[in-house]
Amino acid sequence: MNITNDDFSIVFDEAQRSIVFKGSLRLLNVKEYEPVKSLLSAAHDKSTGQLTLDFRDLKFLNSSGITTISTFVINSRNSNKLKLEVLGSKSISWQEKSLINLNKLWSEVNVVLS
Amino acid sequence: MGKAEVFGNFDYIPQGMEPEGMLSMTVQPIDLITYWRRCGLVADFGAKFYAYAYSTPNEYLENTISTVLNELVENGAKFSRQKESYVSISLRHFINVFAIEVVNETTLKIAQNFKEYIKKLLSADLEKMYFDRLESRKESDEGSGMGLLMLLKDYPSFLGASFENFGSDGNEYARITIRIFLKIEE
Repeated sequence: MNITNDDFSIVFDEAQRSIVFKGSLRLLNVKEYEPVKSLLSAAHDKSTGQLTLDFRDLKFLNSSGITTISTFVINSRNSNKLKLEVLGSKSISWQEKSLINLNKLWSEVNVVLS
Repeated sequence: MGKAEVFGNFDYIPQGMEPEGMLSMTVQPIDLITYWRRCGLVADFGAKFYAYAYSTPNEYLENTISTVLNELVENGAKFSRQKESYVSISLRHFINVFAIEVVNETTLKIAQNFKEYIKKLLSADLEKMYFDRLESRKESDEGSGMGLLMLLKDYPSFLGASFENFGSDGNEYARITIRIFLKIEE
């Protein structure tokens, strides 16, 4: 259920209930993010209590990607099955600027910037 | 050549003002669409080029420039005529502002829709518009339309845009110039 290529990797650790994003994720449009969306959805279904999205090693995410993650948060809010934790880095500007928006979509998203 | 329609802070920094540094490149849209990773490559190159202007490594600024430039280059590539056309990208570095300009050519219909979107962006409550758009998205929507909105909402920037029609006899097109003036955060 993982996605790995030359530019980025997305790995779901079922035991840790975490999805770790690494590299640079800049796909053409939201449609191209379908495999990412499917991975997020499957990880959500397999997790209980809390799911962590770890972006600390993701250097870039374009607006289509941010839209995909935001849509996932909205869907998680609507199903209200588990809480979300989002990990980001203050030294990577897109994370420092954009991840906080996820908490504004759903107050149960705990955004931790380190 | 038609008269250009100009919106927003198009001349926030006048074109004649001499920058500290300047970088420009021109590519064909088809080159970017066919090899999509080139958009990121162009953005990373522009960002890295300017990162060297600072005596200490400034990963944060580099990440900011690349993020902003990438969104503009992606838009230029997506909304261009793919052949007999070009996307022109320029960066001008001033003491506390980066002026990023992307010019592309497209159909009159795309230009008209984009012009209406620019008008909305320039008059909207960006915070409200951002979350409203996310909440009202349909699963079937292919694009996000969030790029410029995200930049203006989350980054210290000003937007300017110019639309100019050209051609004749059923071969009319529009030239779109987008300028983002990005304040440098120290």
